[in-house]
Formats: sequence, C-alpha cells, structure tokens
Amino acid sequence: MTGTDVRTKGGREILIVEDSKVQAATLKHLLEENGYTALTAGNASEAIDILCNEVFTLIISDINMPGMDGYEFCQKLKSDERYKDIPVILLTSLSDPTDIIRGLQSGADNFITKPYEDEYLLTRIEHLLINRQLRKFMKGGVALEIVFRGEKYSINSDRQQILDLLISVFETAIDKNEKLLKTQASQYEMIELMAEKNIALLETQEELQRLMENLAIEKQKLAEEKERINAIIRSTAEGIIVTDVDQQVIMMNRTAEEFLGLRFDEIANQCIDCVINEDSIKEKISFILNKMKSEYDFDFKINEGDKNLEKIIHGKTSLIVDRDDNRLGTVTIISDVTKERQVDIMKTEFLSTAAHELRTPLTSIQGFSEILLTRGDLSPEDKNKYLTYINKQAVKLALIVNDLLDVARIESGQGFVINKKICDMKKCIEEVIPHFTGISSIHKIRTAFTDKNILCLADSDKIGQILKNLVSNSIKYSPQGGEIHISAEIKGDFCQISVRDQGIGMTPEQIEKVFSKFYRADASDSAPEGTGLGMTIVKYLVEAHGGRVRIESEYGAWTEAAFTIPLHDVDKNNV
Amino acid sequence: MKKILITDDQLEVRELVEVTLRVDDYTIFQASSGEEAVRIAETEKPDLILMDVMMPGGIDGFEATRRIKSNPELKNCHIVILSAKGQQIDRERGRAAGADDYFVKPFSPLELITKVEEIMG
Repeated sequence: MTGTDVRTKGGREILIVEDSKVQAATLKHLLEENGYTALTAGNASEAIDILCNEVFTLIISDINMPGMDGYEFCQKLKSDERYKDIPVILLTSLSDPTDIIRGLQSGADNFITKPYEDEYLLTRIEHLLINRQLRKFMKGGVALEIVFRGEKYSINSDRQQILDLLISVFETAIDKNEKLLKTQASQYEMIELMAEKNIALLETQEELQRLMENLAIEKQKLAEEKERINAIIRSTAEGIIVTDVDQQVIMMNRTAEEFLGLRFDEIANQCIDCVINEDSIKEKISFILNKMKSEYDFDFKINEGDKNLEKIIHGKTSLIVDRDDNRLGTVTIISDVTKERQVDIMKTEFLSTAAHELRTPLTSIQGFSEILLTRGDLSPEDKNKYLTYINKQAVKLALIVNDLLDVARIESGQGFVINKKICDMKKCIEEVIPHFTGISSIHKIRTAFTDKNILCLADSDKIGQILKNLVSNSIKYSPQGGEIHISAEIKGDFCQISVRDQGIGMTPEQIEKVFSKFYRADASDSAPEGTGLGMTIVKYLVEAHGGRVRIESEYGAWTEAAFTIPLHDVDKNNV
Repeated sequence: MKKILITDDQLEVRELVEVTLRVDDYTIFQASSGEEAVRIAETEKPDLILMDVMMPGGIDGFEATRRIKSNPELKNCHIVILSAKGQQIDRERGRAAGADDYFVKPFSPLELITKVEEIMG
C-alpha cells in the first residue's frame, strides 16, 4: 500500500473490523464524512494483515465475528508491542456485564454499544483520540485481578484506560437509562393516553351499544307497527289493491284476492294489465295515473252469469300522493255491494209499485168524482154506483197507506203497539171471513178446528191483520180460484193457524225471499197487484206475539202459510 | 162508427173510461187482460185502444201493444197507454212497444176525452 505517510500525518486513520459489509460501509461513510480516513477489514486476521502495512490512529472492531472474535483480536493487539498503543473501540451490544470484564481483560480502550447514534460515536472517537495523547504520559501500572461472579479476571489495562472504559460504559448506561426513562415516560404517557382513549372508546362503545339497543327497539316497534298495519289491511272486509305509478301491483289483501280470484304472491310487481281481467279496474287506474281524474267510483260484476256466485262489486280508485304531492301510485278499494244493490233495486221497484198501487185507487176516485161533478146526464143509480166505487177505492187507498206506514214503522225500529188480551183464535178467524165475501166468486173459504177453545194472549186486531194478509195473498195467487182452507190447532204450547190455497204455488227461491222487504213473488207488470209489504208485516206481527211464520208450497199446486201464537194457558186449553 | 177497445184488469177503470167516452158515438169494447186485448183487436180491428200496462196473466200492456202493432192489419190502430206507471223509463218502454201516446193514471176524464177526440177527429 502507498501513501502511508500522508495518512499517518493527520492521525485520523481508522481501521474498521466488521464482518457485516453493510455495517462496515455505513460506518466507513460516516467517518469519512467527518474528516477521517477509514479502511475496512471483514475479520480479525484480515485486519492483522492490513495492520502490517498500514498505520492507524484508531481501530473500531465488532465483537462477534467468524474466526477470531473482537476480544481475542483486541487482546492480540494489546499484547503486540507494534500495535498496543493504538486505541481499540469494541462495538458491543452490552447485553451482559461479562462483556465489560472481557473488554477490560482484552485491554479495549472503549465500548460503543450497538446500535449507536452517529453523534455519540464521533464524540467518543474524538474523546479517545485526545485521551490517548494524555495517556502516553501516564504510563505504568500493575496488572489488576478482579473476581466477578465467582470468576477471576486479570486486567492489564492502565488506569486511564480502565477509567475511560468504565466512564464510557457508565455513560452508555446513563444514556440507556435516560432513554429507558424517556421511553418509560412516553410509555406512561402512551398508557395514560391509551387509558383515556380506552375510556373514551368504552364510552363510545357504551353509547353505540345504547344506540344499537334503541335502534333494535325502534326496529322492533316499526316491525310491530308494520305487522299491525298489514294485519289491518289483510283483515279488512274491503278488498285493497295498490299499484305503483307504473301500474304494477304492489299490494293486495285477502279480500281482493278472493274477489278477483288471484293470489298476490303470484302476481306481485306485475303490470295490472297482465293480471287483472276486470276491465273497469284497469281502466280507472290508468285514467287516474294519466291525470284524468283523481278518484273514481264504479260497479262491476264478478262471476257474471252464475246465479249463485254472481256478485256486484263496488270499486273506488284513488291516487296515492305523498306530502309533497308526488304521485306514488293508486289504491283501489273494492267491496261486495250485491245486497245493497239488490235492496236499491227492490226499493226502486217498491217506489214504483207503491206509486202504482196508490194511483190505481186514485184513478177511480179522481175519475168518478170528476164525472159526478161535470156530467148532468147521470141516473141516480149510476151516481150511487160511482160513489160506491169512490168509497171502496178510498178504503183501499187507506189500507195501502196503512201498510206503508206499518213498514215505515218497522223500518225505523218503532214497531207496533201490541195490546195482548185473552182471545179465542177460532173467533178471530171467523171474524175475518166476512171481510172476503163478495170479493171473489171463484174462491171458497173453509175452516177446520180440532179443539173447542184455543185461547191465546194476543192482539185480536193484529191477528185479524195477519189473517187478512194471508187470505188475500191466497186469493191473489190462485187466479183459477179454488178452496182456501183455514185451520187452527194446538201444537204444544202454541196455536198453529194455517192458510192453504190451491194456487200457482211458489218456487223454493221465492219462498226464501218472501219475507224480505219490498219483495214480490212476481215483480213483472203482469203480476198480481200488491205492494210486496204484506208478508214483511205478517212476519213482524207474528214475531211480536212470540210466534213464528213459515211458508210451504208445491210449485203449480198449492201454498200453505202457517203461523204460531203462544197459548194463554196450556192446561185450560185442553179442558 | 169508430171502435174503441178499453183494456184494463180493473172493472172500475174500464167502466170509468167507458162512462167518460159515452158522450160521443163510439162502439166500445172491453178487455180485462193483455191476451183478451190482442184477441179482440184482431177480430174487431178497433181505431183506438186504451191500454193498461200492469195486468195479471202473463201478457202485460206493453207486450199486448207489441203483438197488436206487429200485425200488419192492425198497424193503423192507434194505441194509447193508460198506466199508473209514470216514469220516463215506462214511457220509453211504451214507445218501444209501438204505442202512439201515453197517459198516466190517475187521469182527468175531460183530458182523456179531448185526447181521444183529437185522435179520432
């Protein structure tokens, strides 16, 4: 090697002994940056080779190296006269106090703990180089023997060297301790911070937990609310069909399913055009969505043509809008109005019938009275005859008006005043018969009684009214004439009175409806006259007495109307 | 002499109409049912028929009117419905059956005479 003189001149030549090439290069770079020259050796023997040719002011050596370790290498240098004055810094991790002993034993001048800070290392180097000059003058000393952990070590280093080493160790220890304390302090801080954070976290967690619980409760409430609304909608007697703005069916309850013969789960979210056959519903929904109107009322029929299943359904379609008037879809409510419509029809028919019934006697009254007033050519016989007509029709008119008022009274819930007295049913029947004499020449009224006395607690006027109704029905519905048979007999605690004719009879369907208001067995224009109120009044009067009324008939052959009235005293009747 | 047929199931109404029309010289026939009215109309070919609507026996006044009007021999016969049914729908049904006029009961005999004279005049 050349240029040795130049290097020694400055006294700043450093040999680095380090097996890690990266650490060696790093250290070399650091030293050279700070005005030193440095050479590196990968192990102790290479270093010894280099030392033969070069002069160094300082050697920095690693301890753990393959082959000769740092201690041995140091000891070797210190025992060699040529190199013993070159200070040696050992790089150690100081993981064991023995390191110091061994360091001292090896005659090392100083320790640097790994990892080291650049500044610390440079200071140490500077310090060591200054001390080396001082030490030259304070030579001499004896070998020192110490026992550490039961082992004896012999230390040849001079006092200054030992002091340096110990101070450096102490410094390192302090430094480490400070660092440790700092670390500890910062750890404490961290712990405190963490504790705080933890508390905050816990609080947040609790808050979250509470929120979650509240949410769960709210969710549960919502679900319950939704279920309740659904249950209400499901169970509503009215059918409900909901569509969105695209006319897709988004809800339908059970009643609607039944009315339309559909299952919602099969048609959900499908366009109403594809699933509902009922044109009027489709039409109204599309009208509404096309802003033609916001509400529709309409009727349609289901199962048309099938007498038993045909129903009249009323639909009401309206627009669904939110608070901001946005259109969300439509809701259609459908309900079975078959009965209502039937009653409507019956009421209309009744009004027209009632008007007709009132006009018929009025025709005679108005016509004959006008004739009597305007015509002077009438014979006394004619005049008398017309007056009789007028009177007869006036009485008939009064009866019709009475019937109407009776029904109005039943309708309004007022009912009749029934004046019950002990009366003989046979007598009641016999009193009614003269009422019909002269009314028809083709009908024959006959009576039959099985018991001597039939005493009932009844209003004889009302019994008369019932009988008159039944007998006039018999006459009315047996246009070919025949026998009208009135019988009375005791049946249990009741007296049963029957009126049987040989007339046109009734179908089972007609019998079923005969007691409904305004019903007439034949409502056509060719039917016998009548308001259709008679049987309603009969039923009411019989039931007001605590009895029952029934109709039996063979279509085209006969009809029998029978009613029962409770006996006054069962024992007395049987005497 | 012109012929008039009075159709009504009620004897009193028939008599009322007859008495009303007695002031003029008409031959008057009476029918108490729709069926009878059709029969008499076919045999007697009256100039005017006063027709009640609600009559028992299967053929009401509208049906009788329809049957009479569908007979080519009777198409010039003037038919006046004389009914206690006075709603618009009833008048329409009368017109549909072929009736020429509609009178609602109760009626004034004087008005009826005026109407009949107008028709027969």
